[in-house]
Amino acid sequence: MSLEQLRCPAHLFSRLLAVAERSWGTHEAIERARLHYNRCLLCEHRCEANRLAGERGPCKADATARVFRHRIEYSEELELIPSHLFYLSGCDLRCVFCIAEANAFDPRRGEDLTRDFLNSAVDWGRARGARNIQWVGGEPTIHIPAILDAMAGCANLPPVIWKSDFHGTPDAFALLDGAVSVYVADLKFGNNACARRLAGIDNYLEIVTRNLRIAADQTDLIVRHLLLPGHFDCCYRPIVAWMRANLPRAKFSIRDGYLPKWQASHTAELSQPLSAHIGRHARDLAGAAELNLIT
Amino acid sequence: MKVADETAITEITIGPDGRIYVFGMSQEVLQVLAGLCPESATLQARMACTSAVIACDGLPAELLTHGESHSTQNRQSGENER
Repeated sequence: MSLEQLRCPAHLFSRLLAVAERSWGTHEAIERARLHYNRCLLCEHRCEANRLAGERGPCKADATARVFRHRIEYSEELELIPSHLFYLSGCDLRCVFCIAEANAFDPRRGEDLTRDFLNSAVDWGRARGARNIQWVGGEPTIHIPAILDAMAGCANLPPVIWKSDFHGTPDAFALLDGAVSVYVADLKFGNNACARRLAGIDNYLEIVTRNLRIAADQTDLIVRHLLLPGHFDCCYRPIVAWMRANLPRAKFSIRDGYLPKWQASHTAELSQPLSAHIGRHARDLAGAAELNLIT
Repeated sequence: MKVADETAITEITIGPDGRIYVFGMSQEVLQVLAGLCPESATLQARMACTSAVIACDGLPAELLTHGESHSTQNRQSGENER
């Protein structure tokens, strides 16, 4: 489903969503997703943990997804707001500047995501004008089976936004195909060394750029980049160059509201806010590269 | 493990240089900020999205590009990674 379809009247939404649901919300599809709880290959750590048997991978998650916050927000990109965000605890990355802090890294936090919970929450959001629901984290990818199950039991599901670090496996994205209306990808780093140092992962660019292409082939994609202090030349410029060469028409969203959170104070260049002029400079550069900037 | 209910919380940080960082902006907070910064195209564009589900469709193009910059008070898009 495209962003244009997101703007359709409600009755058209319902028909479109019904079609989409048939492709992903079947019992077989959900069971296929749940196999990852026995041998988890949802993210590119590929830990193969049997989460049902008590094994834990780098994300530490078991087989229950938990929501530590849900609320309707107006800080997202214009075409998404008002958006009803569901924050899931647990993440496969360990970004030192994570604004969700401990909630992101302790998957025991929050209320269990169940069909009843989601049904009630969606009704609550709809009554307050939310246009969509948005899965964020932490990282929702590590909870795909639970999310798909909950959504399949939602009688009045709005369009679904999937905000992700894009460190998932191709199979994870295959599970989401048809269930997600818009992907919001956090393209955090422009080189593998910064990803290793600040998020603790290897082969970052190869993985994330592969997934960006997968997502762009599936449905609408917004590529979001949070400007980090001291990472304009090493991260931002390469990202703009990559976007220009590979996904020039994908929507590109620059976030310039960095604040030092979590363990950022331990990293010299991340221990202070972004300089005031960097946001404008970044937009000028993206404009010069003819990227499809959105706000 | 239960956590504090943050459903009704918007986090606002004001930097010493006057920049305002907002995370999890609610409709009510948006209305307050838009009232304080009536010259902000970005805030006004967001305000237009509060009145109807499809309000964004009708926005003038100039409101849909880039962000604003105020000389005395910037509202930053308060999104770290999560």
